[in-house]
Parts: sequence; structure tokens; C-alpha cells
Amino acid sequence: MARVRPAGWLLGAGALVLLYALPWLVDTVRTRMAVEILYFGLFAVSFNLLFGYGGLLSFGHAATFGVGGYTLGLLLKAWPAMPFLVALAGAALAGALAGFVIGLFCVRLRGTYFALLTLAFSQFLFAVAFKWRAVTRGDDGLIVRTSDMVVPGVGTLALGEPATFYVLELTVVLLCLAAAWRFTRTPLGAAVVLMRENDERAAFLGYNAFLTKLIVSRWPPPWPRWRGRSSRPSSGSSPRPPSTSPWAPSSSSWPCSGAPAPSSVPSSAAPSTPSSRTGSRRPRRTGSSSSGSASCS
Amino acid sequence: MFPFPVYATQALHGLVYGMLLFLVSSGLTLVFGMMGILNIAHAAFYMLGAYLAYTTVGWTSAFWLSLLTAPVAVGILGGLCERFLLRRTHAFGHAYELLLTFGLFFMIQEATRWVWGSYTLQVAVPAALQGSVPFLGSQYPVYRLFILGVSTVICLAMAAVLLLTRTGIVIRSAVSDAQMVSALGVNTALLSTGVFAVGSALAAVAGVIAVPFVQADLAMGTTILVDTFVVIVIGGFGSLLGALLASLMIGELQSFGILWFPEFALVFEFVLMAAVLIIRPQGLFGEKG
Repeated sequence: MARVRPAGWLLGAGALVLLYALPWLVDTVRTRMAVEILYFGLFAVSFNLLFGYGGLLSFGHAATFGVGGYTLGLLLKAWPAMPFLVALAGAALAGALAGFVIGLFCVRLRGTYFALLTLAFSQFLFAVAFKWRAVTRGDDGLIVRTSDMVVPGVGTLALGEPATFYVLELTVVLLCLAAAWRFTRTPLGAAVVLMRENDERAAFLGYNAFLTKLIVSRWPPPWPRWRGRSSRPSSGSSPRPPSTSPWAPSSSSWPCSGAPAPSSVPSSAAPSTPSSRTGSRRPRRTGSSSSGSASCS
Repeated sequence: MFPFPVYATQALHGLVYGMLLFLVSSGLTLVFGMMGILNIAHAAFYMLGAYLAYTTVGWTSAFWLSLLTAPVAVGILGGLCERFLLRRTHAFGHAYELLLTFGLFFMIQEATRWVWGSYTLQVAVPAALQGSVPFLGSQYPVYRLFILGVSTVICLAMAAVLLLTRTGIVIRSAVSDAQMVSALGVNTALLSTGVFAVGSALAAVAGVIAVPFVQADLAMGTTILVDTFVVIVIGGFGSLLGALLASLMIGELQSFGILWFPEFALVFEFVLMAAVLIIRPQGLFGEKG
């Protein structure tokens, strides 16, 4: 790795300070926007890990995003007293587990077949989220009040406040980014790239393609999940009631895998989601409001 | 459970939707067979067909005219996409082609939103096809039978072209081995563009005949896209016969799924698709890839 020069450190530190100070520099609307930018950014990074590094084009990436979001929401709903970070860890774990199980089946296939099988799984999860109204409340979305976070020695953080939430989210996102960056520099991370370039050759060299692909397919999911949960509490559309924006099923619909935008449509405009038209034969997925491009290395 | 006519009506519904699905997925599976491209934008062409029908009907109030204008316009667009976009991406491999068509899908969808707005647009059933006919003691809408008729005719015409004409033989050979056909002196590049254009036009035809029955909205592309994926996976990539059988299967599965297990109807096809991919990735009629 190239050595980072002092000017680089200074620039990085400045950017960091600026990032943390952002909520006090801009108004609430823009803070909310920054919250969305952060979690979609993390989503893109996790997708890049999968496709850019691993060469695995997955249409099911948003499914793990959805699993994370729903897990956090349901955990907090079932045990309102649960500390936020515990629920967060639970959500990350559930997402990783979902990614692992899906990966178990998918990584044996390649190219288009892989993409389509991940699509099938993500559509399956979407259908479950959409139809299992008793648990997920279907198209209405899941509305959860976030409990405040108690930090020993600091006091209570009101997560309903966009600024507080932003700071927490930024911290989590930065930690995830650091972990992802670190991962690409481990031997395992290098093996992943090797696999993308030529998995036959990698196999000759003694790498287990199946295992490596499986690991990478499971690895990124934790990040989406993180954001998964971040998005719900943060983007409440009404200013006061904290964290009441519903987590809608379209967040796990497949177009999200490549175009991060769609999920933002329902999560901020959920009470009148365009997809909740009555009488539609099948659930309609809302289109993307802006086209975010999937990251490819 | 239900009286017999309910089953019969439901079976007919499934047949109608299945044939519509076949119109869309036949182009998709042919293109995949020849070029190895899973064209996600195909569903956007279907949607575009529906919106163009709306405009044609709005300007000339002639529904029949839209059966000509929409496929021609969409066919040209499809040909251009293949010639100027996909061919350039070919060298980078299938994942990039997949992403390109994925991007095209969203571009067309957003362009449609820009031009026509986000509203659901209605196209009236042409006067000659309004009303319903008695069917086993109940009534069945004539227009659905029209959909069934048109798609059956197109299906037969396609079979005739592919099985009986020289072009058809060349196309079928290109599906099984494009490189070899090219080595024999056939201009496969031109053939690819042609097949892509015709496939897009077929999707547009499906869009036109579907629009009085489903209405044009921005989600119609996504809705049918997933179903066509399921169809070509189950039928086998590149197999027309497989696409036909799988289309009818999915049509009936949805139709009866809604009747018996309304809660889970949506889940069945994906479970089926996942099962096929896991147990027999080449599908029912596909060749091992």
C-alpha cells in the first residue's frame, strides 16, 4: 500500500470532522438526506465487495438489506426495551445468516444462473414480506419506535433526533467501511479477487472456490443490514414523532440490488405508497425515483 | 370446494395469461439462446408497447393501428440497442451485458415516467371486442379470448417460420452454436440484430394486446419481467418449446394459486424457479451450459 502522506492525513481528518459536524451545519431535511446517502453508500460498497471484487452479480442483494431491516424492526417491536445496539447486532446477524443460506445454494452456479437464482430467493423473501401481513404488515410497512440509546458515562441518546441518529449511523458506516477495506487486504480478500479472474486456475492453486465464494457471498450482507436498520428510524416523514417511518417490503425487492433508489421511495413516502393501489393483481413494485448506478470496480 | 365452471374459468384465465407470457418470453429466450444475453430491458419494451398503444389510440382512436405502430417503433429501438450498445459490451462478458440491459430497463422506465407521467393510463377495449360470451353457465369476456387468439396465431406463425423457412433454420442453428454458423458464412451479427429487433417487437405486441386488460402503468414491466425470468429458467434457456410449456405452467399456477392459496400464490413460482435452478439448472428443455 502506498504510504499516506501528512497532507493526506490532514485532509482525511478534516473530512472526518466535517462529516461529524454536518448535522449542525445544515438543516434537518438535509441531515435526513445525508442519512440516506450514508446507508445507500454502504449498500453500494457491500455490493461492490460482492460484484466488484467477487465477480458475483447478485440480484438478491437487496433481500439481505430487507432481512436486516425487518429483523431490527421486529426485534424492537417484540422487546421495546431491548438496547438499540443489541437489536442492531441481531439484525446484522440475521442478515448474514440469510446471506449464508442463500449463498449456500447460489454460489454453485455461475454467471446468469447465479444472478437468476439470487433473484428467485430475493423475490421469495419479497413475497413473504409482502404477504405475511400478521408479522410484517405487508405493504403498510412496519412502524417501530426506536428506543433511546443509553450510553454509559455519556447519557441518553435520543435516536429519534436526526442529528443524533446521523452521528450514530456515521460511526457504524465508517466502522463497516474500515472492516470492508481491511477484508480486501486479507489473504481471503485476495483469494476472492483471484476467484473472479479465473476460478479454475484458483482451484488448481489449491483454493476452494466454493468455500471462498460462499464466504464472500455471506460477508457483504452484514453491511446492508446495518443500513437496513438505520433507514427505518431515520427517515420519518413527519418532523416530531421520532422514528416512525415504515420499513416497506419494496426495500427487499430486487431492483434495489442494482438501483438503490427504489427503497427510498416507500420508506419516506410510505403512508401513501404508490404500490398500495387496491385491486392490483400482483404487488406492484415502485420504480426507482432516481437511478443510482451499481458500483463496479 | 368450488363448482366445476369456476375451475374451467380459472383454467382459461391461466391459459390467457400463459400465452401472453409466452409472447414476451419467446423473444427473451431466443435472444438468450443466440447471444447469451439475458435482456432485462425486454420487459421495458413490453411496457413501452403498452404506452405507445395508449398514444396511438389517443391520437387516432384506432386500436388496430397500434398493433402496427408500437411493434415497429419498439422493434427499431431494440435493433438500435443491440447494434450500438450491446455489441460493444459483448467483449466484457455476460455480467456487463446483464448490467447494461438492467440500466436500459431503468432508463426506459424513467423515460416513460417522464413522457407519460406516473399515472395509470386506461385504454378502452375496442368496440368490436367488448362484452362477454356465455361460458359454461357464466360469462367470459371476449377480449381475453382475443388475447388468447392473437397469441396463439403468433405462436403458430413463429413455429412456421422457425421450422419451415431457411431463415428459421439459420436462427435455430445460431441458437445452438452461433460461432459455427458464423464460420459457415452466415452474417450472424445482422442475424442477432434482426432477432433482437423481432423479439422486442413481439414484446411490444404483447404490451399492446395486454393494455386494455391490465392498463398501462410503470410497474407493468417489473411485474412481467420476473414472470418471464421464471419462465425461461423453468423452460430452459434458449428453448422455445420450453418457454411455451413453462408459460402455460406459470399461467395456470398463478391462476389456481390465487384460487386455492391466495396468501401464498406469489411464492409458488419462485420456489419452483429456485428448485429448478438448484436441481436442474438447464431447465426442462435447455442444453447443459
